Amino acid sequence: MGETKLNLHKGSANLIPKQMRITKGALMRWSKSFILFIFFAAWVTSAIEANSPKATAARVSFQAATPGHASSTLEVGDRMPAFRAVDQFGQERDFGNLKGPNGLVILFFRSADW
Amino acid sequence: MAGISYDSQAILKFFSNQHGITFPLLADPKSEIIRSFGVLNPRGVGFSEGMAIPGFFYVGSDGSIKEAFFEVNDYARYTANNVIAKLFPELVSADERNIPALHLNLKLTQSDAEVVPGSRVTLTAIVSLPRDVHVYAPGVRGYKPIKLELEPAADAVLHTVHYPRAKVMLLPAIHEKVPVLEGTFRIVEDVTVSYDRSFIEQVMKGPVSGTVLTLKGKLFYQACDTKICYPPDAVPVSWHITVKPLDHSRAPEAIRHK
Repeated sequence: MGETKLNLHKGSANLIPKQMRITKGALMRWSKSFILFIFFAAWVTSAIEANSPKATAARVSFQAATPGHASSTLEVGDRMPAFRAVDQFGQERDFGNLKGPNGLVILFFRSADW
Repeated sequence: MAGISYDSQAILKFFSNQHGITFPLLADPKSEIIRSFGVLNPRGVGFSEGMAIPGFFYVGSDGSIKEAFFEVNDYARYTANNVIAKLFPELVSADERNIPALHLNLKLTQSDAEVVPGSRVTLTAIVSLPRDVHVYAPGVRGYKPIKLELEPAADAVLHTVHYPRAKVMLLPAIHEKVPVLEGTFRIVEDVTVSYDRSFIEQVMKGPVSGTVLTLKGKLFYQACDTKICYPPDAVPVSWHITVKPLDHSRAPEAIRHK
């Protein structure tokens, strides 16, 4: 029974049952679990905050920026819809062949005719 | 940059040839892209049905919308240079000029030198302070903060003045913390040129070269170095914007909207 007897007063790790010893490997596994838990908690918190009224107000709504205009659900932070069209030179264009290293500025204008 | 409208490719080709436009203009004659971006203009009736609400989106290289620039109606609108000046201020320097000022270097610039009525233009004061010299930032108490103040103009709407973020400086002699600006920074203010009918008529009847709109004001500041604070100063500043008549010419009849 000497192997399983706990005698913490002796201060010897060899007296602690093997299953109860905090080995280096176990400590690493616990650390990893703890770090993963912290990341998960941060993700949950950020998801909650992102949907809070305060965060929603902070996002610049296109609708709010254009009173008097038709409503739109497209907001800053949203994914741009995919598009493909022919330009004035007859070349087929999409986001992939238009964008530069910093992205793309898209101008919507009323008409080049009138 | 790319432009998108409900015009046909033939109209866009004619227009870009006429005005020397080299950046891509995309034809969206069925307004499918316009609808997908949610910018179909509800004011479009008759041959203008399907047109877009005028404005800009800045899309990051990952495809997400970073900024949207749309005005309150179809007549007031951001200029392309104004948008570029907001996104990449170092790229825009129209009509840059030095203004004599004590204890600092002052340059004035603007996003556009020539516009049409309703254009929103960015006016910029670039301030450069010598090493160890600072000015007080807006919000400071007991000192004269730097302040750009334009006189009201009949033919332009003045928007809010934007200052850079201040640095907090500890003044050891008096154990006080104060907000200051150092180095080189920009003070910017947007102005929207009038689109009132009377002003548009005035511009249409004016010279073909355009009507010059002058915006005057003063830059107030107090500069200090590590030893002393100099007396408060005020430097007169002005920007000139040439307002050109609207272009009412249309595409050839065979290709124009009907």
